[in-house]
Amino acid sequence: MKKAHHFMRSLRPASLALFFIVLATNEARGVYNSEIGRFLSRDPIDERGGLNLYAACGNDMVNRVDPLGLSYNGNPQSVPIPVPAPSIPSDPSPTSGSSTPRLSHITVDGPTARNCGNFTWTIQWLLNAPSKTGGYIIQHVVPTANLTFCTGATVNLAPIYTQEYWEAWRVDPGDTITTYAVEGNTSDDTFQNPTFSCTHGTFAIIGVAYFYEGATLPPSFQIGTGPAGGVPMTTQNPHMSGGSNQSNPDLHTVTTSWNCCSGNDTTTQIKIDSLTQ
Amino acid sequence: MIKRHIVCFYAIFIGFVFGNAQTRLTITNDPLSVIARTGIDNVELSAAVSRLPMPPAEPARFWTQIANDPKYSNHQRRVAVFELFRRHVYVGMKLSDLAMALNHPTWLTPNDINIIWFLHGGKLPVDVQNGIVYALPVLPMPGETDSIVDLVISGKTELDPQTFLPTPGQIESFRNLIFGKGASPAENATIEEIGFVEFGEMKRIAPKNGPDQGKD
Repeated sequence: MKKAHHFMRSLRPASLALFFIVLATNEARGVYNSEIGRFLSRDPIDERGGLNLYAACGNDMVNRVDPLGLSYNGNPQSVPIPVPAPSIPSDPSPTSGSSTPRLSHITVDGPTARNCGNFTWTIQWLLNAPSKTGGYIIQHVVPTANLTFCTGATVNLAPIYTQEYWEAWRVDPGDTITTYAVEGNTSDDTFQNPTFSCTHGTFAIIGVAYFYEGATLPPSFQIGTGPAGGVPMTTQNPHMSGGSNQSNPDLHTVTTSWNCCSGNDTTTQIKIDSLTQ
Repeated sequence: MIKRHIVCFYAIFIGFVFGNAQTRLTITNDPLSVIARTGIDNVELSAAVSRLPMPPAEPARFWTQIANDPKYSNHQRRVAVFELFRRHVYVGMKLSDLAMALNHPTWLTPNDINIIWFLHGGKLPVDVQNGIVYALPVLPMPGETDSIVDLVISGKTELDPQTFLPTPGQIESFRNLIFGKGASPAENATIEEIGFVEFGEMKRIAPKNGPDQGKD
């Protein structure tokens, strides 16, 4: 009893306050494991709070208080969202004459905005004239991200998110659409990001696409399980030759911005720019 | 009298030979017998597959025996994998039942299984928004993958809150289940969509309404 009394007296007021905050929080929504940085029970607001049901938004349980465990309620930051100016990557200059078909795209689905950076936009490729010999549409994809946690810490996204790559669609002789579209699925190209819970930021994806008449696909293009799905892709510049559009590629950018910190509309804002639409 | 015996003997002999020949003809023409042959020509294999009836009369194990056996060519094993999924795997199937149907797949390497949770351009035969997309490369060769089974499983991809990569536990749980390594929280999850990249061609497989007729 004496030992317990001595222990209580030795505690500083700040420590006691922290102790009661943690106690209240745990009672409300379970135990927080500091080693893994998560609660051991699900967040009571379920999926409405984001996909990670075991995360506390901000993951900062000392400086921010969430007594009922329902929302991140600490010092909402009104941070202006910087939108990066897309810089057009320099792809090899096409060499074909003006008789080669010109490439463009149409929107098949979306853009559909969800929360916290989550969105979908799907397009279809179109040639303005049938391909004479068949060839490949090659799109150079350049993603750039600028994400910050609600706590103020920078998000170090996994490299796969900002990986630059080239992807390919085949067009058969006599066709103006890809082989996938000929088979009935016109959703050639989809841009889609997941939910970046407890962050604010921007994500831009630039696509620069040419049609290369008569080209064969370099062996570096492989079907993988990465950000191009089941479409052949490569992370090495294929240095294609041939192609359409002379100096005007089908260039489009999709820029998303969001603020998923407390007190803000969490809906993803989407801006699509295109040189050919 | 003797002549009559000789005629009878010849009649029986011809009947025996003819009957046997017919039986042999039936066996060799049976598509399953053709498919189960090693070293079969790709065209002959495709023709035999196209003659298979639906619903399937053969058990799932017929396909896993070919898919898991290295004495068959890679092409034949890949065809067996796709036919296994096409004929014996269906929308609504539990993952625990899928694991039984796959029968310890040697055509699949655990570390090759990936979750696809975003697309920065490109295309999938299934919809990322409809659940957790697991991509199963089918016998990938060095520097070449042209065959993938994409499965959408009920639930949502759980992302690490720091890196926004799928949590390793979620993939590990799926791998353990598929390879029959003990109980997994994912065993009651169900298949929502099935898609193929089949020899480079992308296909969305039409959902079936229920389990097939074949029995193991």
